[in-house]
This record gives sequence, C-alpha cells and structure tokens, in this order.
Amino acid sequence: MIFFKDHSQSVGDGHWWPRIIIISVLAIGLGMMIFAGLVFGARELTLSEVWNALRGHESESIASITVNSLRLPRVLVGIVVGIALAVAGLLIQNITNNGLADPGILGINAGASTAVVIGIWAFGFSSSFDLGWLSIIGASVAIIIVMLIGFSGARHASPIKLILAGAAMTAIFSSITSSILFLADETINVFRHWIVGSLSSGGNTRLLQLTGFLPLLLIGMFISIFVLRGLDVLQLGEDTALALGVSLQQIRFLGIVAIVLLAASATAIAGPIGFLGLATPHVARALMGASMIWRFAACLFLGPILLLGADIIGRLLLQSGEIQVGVVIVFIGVPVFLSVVRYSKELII
Amino acid sequence: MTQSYFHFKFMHISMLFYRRSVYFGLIVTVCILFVVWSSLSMGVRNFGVVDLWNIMNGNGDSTDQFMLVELRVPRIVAGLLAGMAFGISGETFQSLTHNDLASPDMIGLNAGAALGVVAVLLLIENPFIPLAVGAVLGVVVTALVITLVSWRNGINQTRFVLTGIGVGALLFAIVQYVLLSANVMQVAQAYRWLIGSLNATTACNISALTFLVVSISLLAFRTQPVLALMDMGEGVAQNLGVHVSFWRVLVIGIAISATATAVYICGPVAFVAFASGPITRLVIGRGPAVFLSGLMGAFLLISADFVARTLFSPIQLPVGLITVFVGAPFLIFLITFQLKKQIL
Repeated sequence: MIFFKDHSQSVGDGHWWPRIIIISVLAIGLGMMIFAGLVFGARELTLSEVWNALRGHESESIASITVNSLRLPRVLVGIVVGIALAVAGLLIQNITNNGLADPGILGINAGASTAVVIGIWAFGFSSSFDLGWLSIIGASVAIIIVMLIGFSGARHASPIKLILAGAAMTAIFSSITSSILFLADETINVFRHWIVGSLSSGGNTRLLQLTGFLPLLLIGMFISIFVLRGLDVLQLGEDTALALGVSLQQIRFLGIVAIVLLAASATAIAGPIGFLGLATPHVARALMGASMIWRFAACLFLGPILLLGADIIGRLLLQSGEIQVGVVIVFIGVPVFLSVVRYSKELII
Repeated sequence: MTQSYFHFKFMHISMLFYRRSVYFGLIVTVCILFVVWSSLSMGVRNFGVVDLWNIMNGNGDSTDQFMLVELRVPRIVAGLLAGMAFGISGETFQSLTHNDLASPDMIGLNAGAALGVVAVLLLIENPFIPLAVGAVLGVVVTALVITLVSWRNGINQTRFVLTGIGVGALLFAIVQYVLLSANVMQVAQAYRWLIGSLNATTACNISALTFLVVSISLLAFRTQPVLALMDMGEGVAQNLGVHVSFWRVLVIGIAISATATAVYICGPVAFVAFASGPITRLVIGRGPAVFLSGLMGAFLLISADFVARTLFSPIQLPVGLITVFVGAPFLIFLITFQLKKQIL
C-alpha cells in the first residue's frame, strides 16, 4: 500500500530540513497567535495576568475569568476549526485538481444555511447544537450534489465546471433561503446571527459544540491522513496514479467523506466561514512545495494561525464590539482567490 | 440552406431570417399576448372580454377603471420591460462567456445589487432615495470592478466569470455583516426587496423605461450577428474582420445596462436572466439568440408574475418567489443534462 511507503520520497521532494525549520517557525507562530488571542481583546491583559490565569492562580480575579471562560474557549475553537477548514480545503483542491476549490465556494455554506433556516422556520430550533446538526446535513447534501455534477460527464472534472456547479447550487440554496425568510420575519433574527461565522461564544456553547462534534472531526482527520499518500500520487495525473496502483474511486470517495466531515462540522461549530480552505493550501504550497504530506503538516499550523489572526484583527478593529471572523477571513481569502484567477496559467483557456 | 431561411428584401436592405427563429418568435409573442390578456382580466376582480373592452375605452365604473389602467397595465408593461432586459442581459453574458451558467445572477451582480440596497437602507437612511437607485449603482459598480479586476490584456471569459464569483462572495459577506447591526424591520425590508417583485412598479416612469429597454433591444439586435461570429471562437471572428475587443466591451456594456434596468424595475429576480437564453437555444437549436431570449424573458417574467398575483389572491406574492421554485429545478436539469455535452 502506498500509504506505508517511505515518506522522504514524495512528489517534488527536496531536502527535508528546510521544511522542518519552516514547520518549527509555524509552530512558534501558532504559539504566539494563541498568546495574542488570550492577551488582546476588549480588555487588554498583561502577559503575567494571562500566565497566572492559565496556571489557575487567583481563579476569582476578572483576568482569570476572562482568560479561562471567554478567551481560552475561543482560541481552542479557533484552532480546531482552523485545522478542519484548512485540511478540508487542501483535500478538496487536490481531489478536484482545482486551485479555486473551497468548501464555501462549492456550496457547503449555502447548503448549511438553507438547512438551518428550514430548521428555525419549520421546527422552531434555536439552540446552536440543533443548528449544528442541521448544518451538517445541509452541507453534506450540498457538497454531494456539487461533486456529482462536477464528476459527471467528461472524464476529468474540469475546475471551472465544479466552481460553476458550486455557484449554481449556492444560487439555488440562497434563493430558497431568502424565500423562507420572506415568509417568516422572525426567522431572520436567529438566522442573521448564525450566517456570519464567528468564534465568539455566549457562555461556553461553542466549546460544548466542539466536544459534541469532535468525534466527527477526528474521524475526518484520520481518513484524510489515510488518503494523503494516494492524493500525493494523484497530483501526477490520473493515468500515472492508476498505473502506480492507486484506486481512484476509493481515494476520491474517502477524500470526499473526509471533506464533508471536516467542513460540515467546522460549519456546525462556528457557522459558515468561507475562503480559509481556499487560501491556506496556497500559502502551504508556497512554503512547502507540492508534496501533500508537507503541505498537510503546514496546514495544521497555517489554518489556525490565519483564523486566529483574523479573529484578533476583527476584535481589535472596532472600538466597541467586533467584526466576526467570517467577515474578516473573506477579506483575506478573496484577494488570494482573485490572484489565483488572474495569474494561474491553467485557467487561461 | 435557402429553405431554412426567410429572405427579407426591402429597397437596399436584405436580410436572412432563420425560419425556426421566426416561428419561435411568433409563438412566444402569441403566448405573451395570451398572458397579457389573462393578467388584465384576472385578479382580485375578474373581467370578461366585453367588460375589458369597455373599460379600456373609458366606459366603465371608476373603480374598475382605476384598477385596470392605474394598477394592472403599468404592472404588466413593467414586467414585459424587465423580463426583456433580463433575457437580453442573460443571453449576452452567456454567449460572450460561452457558458450557460454565467448569467448575471451567478457572477456576483446580484450581490452588488444587495449591497447597494443595504447601503441605501441602512447607511444613508434617506427615505427619499429609492432602494432601486442603490441597486442599480451596486450592479454597475460591481460590474465595473469585476471588469477591471479581471482585465489583463483584455477580457478573458473564464477569468471574468470566476472573478465575478469571488467579488460576489466578498460583497455578500459585507452585506451579511451590515445586516447584523440593523434592526429587524430594516433587515426584513432588505430581504423582501432582494427577492424581487413587481408590486411597486406603479412608481416607475414607464415611458422612460420603455425608451431605455427598446434602445437596449435594438443594440442587442445589432450585436447578434457579431456574437454569432464570436461564438465560433474569437480568433476566427478576428480573422473574419470583427473588431473583437471593441465589440466585447460594447456587448458587456449592453449586458450591464440591461441588468441594471431590470433590477431597477423589479429587483434582482432570480433565474429569469439565467433561464431565458438556454430555453430559447434549446428550442431553436442554435445560438446566440439575444432578441428572442429577450422575448422569452418577458414571457417568463409576466407569467411568473401572473401566477404570483393570482395563486393566493388577494395576497400578492413577490414574483421572485415563483421564479425560484420554477428556475431552481430547471438549473439542476440544465447542469446535469446539458453540461455533459459541453466540454467546459
């Protein structure tokens, strides 16, 4: 099995030690980001306050409560969601052979939104846990339809076809969403808070959701590690991969299962966050080269770094209140998307 | 070949008309007239043919007169104009990009309209500026931004569409963020406007809009032979003497102004611009057919509005609600069956 082959001989391989250095730098960066996430906010804390709070000293102080019950959950959620979205983006770009693929662009967010709106409207759901399950169902339906469309017809799923299928499904889903919102004014109020992806938590709800959906995330991560080698070979082209003994159907099926699990549970935890899955693999490629395994390793750090960074920016930009991370990340992700569109050679037809 | 065409000769003018296009145009026109007649006579109050004739000639009681002349006629005319503009804009975008999915609703122009509406509603808060103005500005600015961002030694179709999708996503995120800070009434108003309806068309200046749509249609009619040449590939068109970059800019201009006009009249009604082109081409078996798609769009929009008005009468649904539930299945059909044939 390809999975057990020697890792140092992967596609586009060079020396391993510069990459180890990059990974260590990224790890340090993530550590700094986590600390920044604990320090910055509406009330700025000193480093020593944060440190004391983390070690459990003075557990009654305001600093300790702020750190342990507000910011720490937020950072944890950011790390997990960041990893999940980044890995989902990496897999989806590889499986569809498409630098523009992203769970959000391929209709996951719209599907989740529609399911959530139907839940709020028809069944009166409002607890975030129920909405989480609904969004998993909606997201899975959406991405399965888009994949079916994308891989139907011509043998090679063309990048543009997939993107357009995603845009079309997004149009359909958001039309249904807005029709329901037209019929029920009170649904809008719950929905508009869900639709903007965010890490902030009322109490510990997001952390509870995180633990609730953790099994799905772990299964998704396990599957994605399992298919990594196969996807690495797939980059050489379908024919080469077949010749090297990769089962295309198996790899693609498992990969899509992993994408659905990761992206849908991330959406369930934090609401729709687009473009993180798009941008991270490109940064990872710039740092690490084409090798899937190294890019996967980089994504584990880059995803949380980008997400936490966007969250911190969103918290610091406004004097009062905050800009939700789902909005900030779009401003980081869309320029990446546009530059890929503009400068990619494969897309010029 | 001569049998499949009508040869039209008048003094110095000589034109060939594809037979199926002519038949299709006639049939659609008849359908349009039928729907117009139905929408005139049916509604909260139903009129027979004789009544209708009398009222239109000014011999009826004043309530009926008001209902017909002041409410139904402007609404139907506005529906025809908006549908025409939607059809033209959809077909020009689709034929320019060689891609059925690249209608204005897909490439981010609706997100632009949404942002314009939300800006007028929440940021300017001036009740005298109609939401439609915001929508038109939103569409035009978005289209220009997409064109500029995707410009790199000219416009590449694929790049144009993909840039549109990216810009659309960005604008949509902004809209959602702005809506977070609004009060519920305003949010509901914004969502309602964004579905699109013909309920408020009595306020529109019908004659000016008619002039606008007619001139857009004539221009579109003129671009049709050029589009047919460009459809064979732009290299081929260039070799045949078409000034490709000039016509491309002109056609994009027409498409943008058609979209803006339609959005001004009835809001970003989904799927009319998208569906009219493919339906027309499916029937006549060839494209591009800009003018006929316009007719088709008019037919689709006023039929949908007729249904929206009479389905749960006296409650008037917005027309956008009807087009969604008809258009979405058609989109899925088109993607699964039509796209298989194309190598996208």
